[in-house]
Amino acid sequence: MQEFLKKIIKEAGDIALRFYQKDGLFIEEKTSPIDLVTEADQVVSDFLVKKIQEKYPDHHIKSEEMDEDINGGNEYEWVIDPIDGTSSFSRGLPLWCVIVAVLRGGEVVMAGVYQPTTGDMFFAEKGKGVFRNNKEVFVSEKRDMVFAEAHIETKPASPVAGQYKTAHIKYVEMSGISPRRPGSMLSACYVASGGYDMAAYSLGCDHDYLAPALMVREAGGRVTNYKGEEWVRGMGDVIFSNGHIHEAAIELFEE
Amino acid sequence: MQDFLKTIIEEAGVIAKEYFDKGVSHKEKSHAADLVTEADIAVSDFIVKKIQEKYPDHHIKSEELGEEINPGVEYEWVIDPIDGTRNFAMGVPMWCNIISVLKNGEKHLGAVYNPIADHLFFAEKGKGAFLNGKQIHVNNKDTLNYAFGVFTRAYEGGIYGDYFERYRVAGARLVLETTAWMHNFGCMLSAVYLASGGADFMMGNAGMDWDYLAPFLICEEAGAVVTDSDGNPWKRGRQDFVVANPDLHPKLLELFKPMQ
Repeated sequence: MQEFLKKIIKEAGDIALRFYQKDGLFIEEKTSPIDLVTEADQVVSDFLVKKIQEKYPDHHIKSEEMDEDINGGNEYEWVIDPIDGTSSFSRGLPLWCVIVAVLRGGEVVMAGVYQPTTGDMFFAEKGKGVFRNNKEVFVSEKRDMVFAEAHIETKPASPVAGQYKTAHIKYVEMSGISPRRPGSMLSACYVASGGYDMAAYSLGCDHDYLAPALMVREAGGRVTNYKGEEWVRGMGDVIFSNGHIHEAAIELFEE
Repeated sequence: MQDFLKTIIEEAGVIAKEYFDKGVSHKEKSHAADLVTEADIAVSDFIVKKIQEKYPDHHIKSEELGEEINPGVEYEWVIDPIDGTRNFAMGVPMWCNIISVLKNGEKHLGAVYNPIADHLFFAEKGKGAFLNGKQIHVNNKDTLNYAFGVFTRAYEGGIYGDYFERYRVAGARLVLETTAWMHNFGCMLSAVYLASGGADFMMGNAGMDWDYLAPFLICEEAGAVVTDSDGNPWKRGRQDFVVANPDLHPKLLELFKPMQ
């Protein structure tokens, strides 16, 4: 199943890339950038769903672009975000990715995140660690907030936007630098690979969070909501960290 | 000179990417977030050598060069071999190579290369800005509502940075009073993707000439307004800057006024 997941996520990324650019140039928008994303999202989703159905016809499949789940209730569940970072995608910023998580009995057992513009592949399997381009990676050793690298993303529509704004302001004062924010779940992957020390997202769905949550945990980090409760499926906000600074990270959100 | 510049920056990018893929060790410069790697040195040496071979009498200045070469002549090359060194050192694929050419002290050519995505941004004064040979322009977003913004603010205790208080105010107002989506890539790629219409605005208060000269020429040639935080045209030596299309730019300057 590992090799199958890696293969289809890479193929899906290459399909997305054909919508994103041609001969190294951004495609002229046919109608609007939003339509372009919608079309790419749909095509990539259809591709992944079809591949999974061919190989595992009885598995449960859930995609951001699919109104209804396929085979709900099966032991194995595939959760797909065909293009994460659609705003970057539509703006010509090479910072978006394809995300696939596989659950067994409701628990994430395998996850892949692929960045087609760089060929970067993050892959994790429960209990077996997380790998970036087949090399095992781990969270950073950073133990304080001074110059800690943090992604802090506040979406205006989030019910906890106020707490996230507080965290942003407090982080700037404590770290002495500005939060990073490329604008996709790749930041959480960089927490797993030790490039960032924490990444906090104020609003998202299971198809965004399930795969990176496995990665950060497998790399030795922690994943909770802003209150410090272990992140579980259905929670709309999430904080990924290297573990060492997790308590300090949670304190950022206290007003 | 244009073709020469494009060739050497792409070659420099390939060298840098080899180091990035392999992984590098790093040393701290002024503080824990100000790093240098063996790749910075190797890429700087490569670019300096190429320029010296082709233009032995030109002035050359590099972030990684202790002393300037031939100061005082008509043409000056200003090099940031790897901008975004901390990302580079930590395996985050957001960094770039930057080379600027000045003629009699004025911005003349600018090149910024993103080797990971193979994006070459290039501008010549008065002749427009280009991405991989295709002309680019800033977008026409005219409000901060859901604007895609990049804001960076320096640490007061560091060796970089200026106008700390007004940037503290502007940063807080952006987060607390607007619905702007705050992004930050940790390198000058933000500025060139603003030039290609990807980002809506960028403001910061910490950087050096080798960071700014080429990206700002590319932004200007793509139609952006590039000023300091007083609203005057940005000049060499100023670390504070505000970059956006002409409609959005005045709204950013408003942010420096104290919070209501």
